[in-house]
Amino acid sequence: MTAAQAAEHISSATVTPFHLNAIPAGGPDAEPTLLSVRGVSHYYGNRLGCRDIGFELWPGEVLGIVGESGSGKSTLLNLLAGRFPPSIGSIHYRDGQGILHDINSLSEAVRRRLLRTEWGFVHQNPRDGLRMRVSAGGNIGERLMACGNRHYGNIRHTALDWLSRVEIAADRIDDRPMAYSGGMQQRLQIARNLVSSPRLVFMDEPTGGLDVSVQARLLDLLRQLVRQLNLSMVLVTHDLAVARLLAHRLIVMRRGEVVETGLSDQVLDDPQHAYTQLLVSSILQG
Amino acid sequence: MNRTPNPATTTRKPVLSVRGLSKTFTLHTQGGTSIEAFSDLDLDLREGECLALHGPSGAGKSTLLRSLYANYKPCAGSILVNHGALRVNMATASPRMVLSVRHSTMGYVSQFLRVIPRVSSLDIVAERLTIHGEEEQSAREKAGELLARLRIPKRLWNLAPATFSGGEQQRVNIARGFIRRYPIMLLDEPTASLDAANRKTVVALIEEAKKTGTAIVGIFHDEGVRDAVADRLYELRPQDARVSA
Repeated sequence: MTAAQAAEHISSATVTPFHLNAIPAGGPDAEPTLLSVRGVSHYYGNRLGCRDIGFELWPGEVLGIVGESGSGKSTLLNLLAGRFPPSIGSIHYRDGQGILHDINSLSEAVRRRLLRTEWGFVHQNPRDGLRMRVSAGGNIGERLMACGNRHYGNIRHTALDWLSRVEIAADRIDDRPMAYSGGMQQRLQIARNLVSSPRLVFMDEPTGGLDVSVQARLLDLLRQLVRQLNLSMVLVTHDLAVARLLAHRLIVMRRGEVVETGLSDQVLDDPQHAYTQLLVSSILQG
Repeated sequence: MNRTPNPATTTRKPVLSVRGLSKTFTLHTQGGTSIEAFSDLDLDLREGECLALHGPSGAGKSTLLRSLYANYKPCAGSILVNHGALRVNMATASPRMVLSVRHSTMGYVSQFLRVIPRVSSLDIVAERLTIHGEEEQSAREKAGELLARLRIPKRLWNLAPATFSGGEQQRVNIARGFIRRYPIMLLDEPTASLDAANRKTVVALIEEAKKTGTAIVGIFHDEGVRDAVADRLYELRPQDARVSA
């Protein structure tokens, strides 16, 4: 498959809607949200990171944040994950027990617990999300131990199971990620994040540095995992084909502000804002 | 055209009602040019009936179909759909509500298969059942039966359809659309690149869906297919002087 062919397959693919077993009486929007973002702005000194962002995220939903480099996507992602507080605005997260947390005023202990047990963060560069000097099995096992697992045999068994789910051969379990290819490292980082069954995963350009055939494989894997695990995901990407394949809804950002939001295929096929039209029309036809 | 009147067209309740629907594209990247696709359309669709959109190329048939599915965003008007106990306006519904309608109420067979990397033909079709909770085994069996009925050779079932011919891809697409019953189905030229035998199969599938009460809006360029399945034609005319700067 050539790069252009692969890109075309991805760009024309569609997202299967998330699980809705019955039609809820008040409609799907009446369900409790997982993440609720209100009036969030962030400044780096005088420079704008992002301004007046607001949205809701529901369980099982994938929200794509798209826009070109420097549009504030990654700033927003880091704010959502509580990595630094916004200058203004509020972010609330409802945990597995139904308790609402204000992300900005979490104690360090609670933030660490959420990061360990309920959240995942997949970095663009797997080196930022993996421990490069620890074996692949150790990278997965560490996360399990952080969640309270102590039984070595169980941990190794689960690690092997996850390696196979991300299509890494079992006999590579004792290798360090240094010895892995870029695509394998990224799949290992995803396994490390998903092994503890998080409810919400933040992803920063997860397919960024990968070649196209590896990308297709990773996208298919992510798509399956989102469905099987009823995962919620906030996905930052500048690749509209990735956004179309994985995200139910999109937020389009430019210069720190949201210019358009909506259903992914509608935003991409019938963009309303001048900037979104420019983004969509700039894609090379494969 | 000679057809017996379908009782559905008069006595049954509408499952989809369009009022005052308008769509104009504004091309900001091309000097703000406006292109009016259609304006002020009214349409009612009843259980078990098939409505064929009719009109010359450029009359807005595909745009209308895509608007009904909320793939395009209308500028004015409403598209009311019965969705379980809810009545949803697809023109203004939230993204999650639209996905809920697409999930269980409204099916869509596009002209071209939207290929997902690495997913086999059989799974593309079976997935439509498993997302509704059907067991994988029986979903795959039913998918296989439908693919066989549409003459997709068994040796292709486990391959991703990226490399299939246009006609084969279209038949996988049709199998995916018809594997499950939707109260409303939208069909965009489902028989465009099919041979006579497969056209007949698709006509039969449409007839079977109608018998179970599925209401259909379709674009059928093939006159024979249109005559066989459509209960009514809905005329769309190209607008005069539709482009304005």
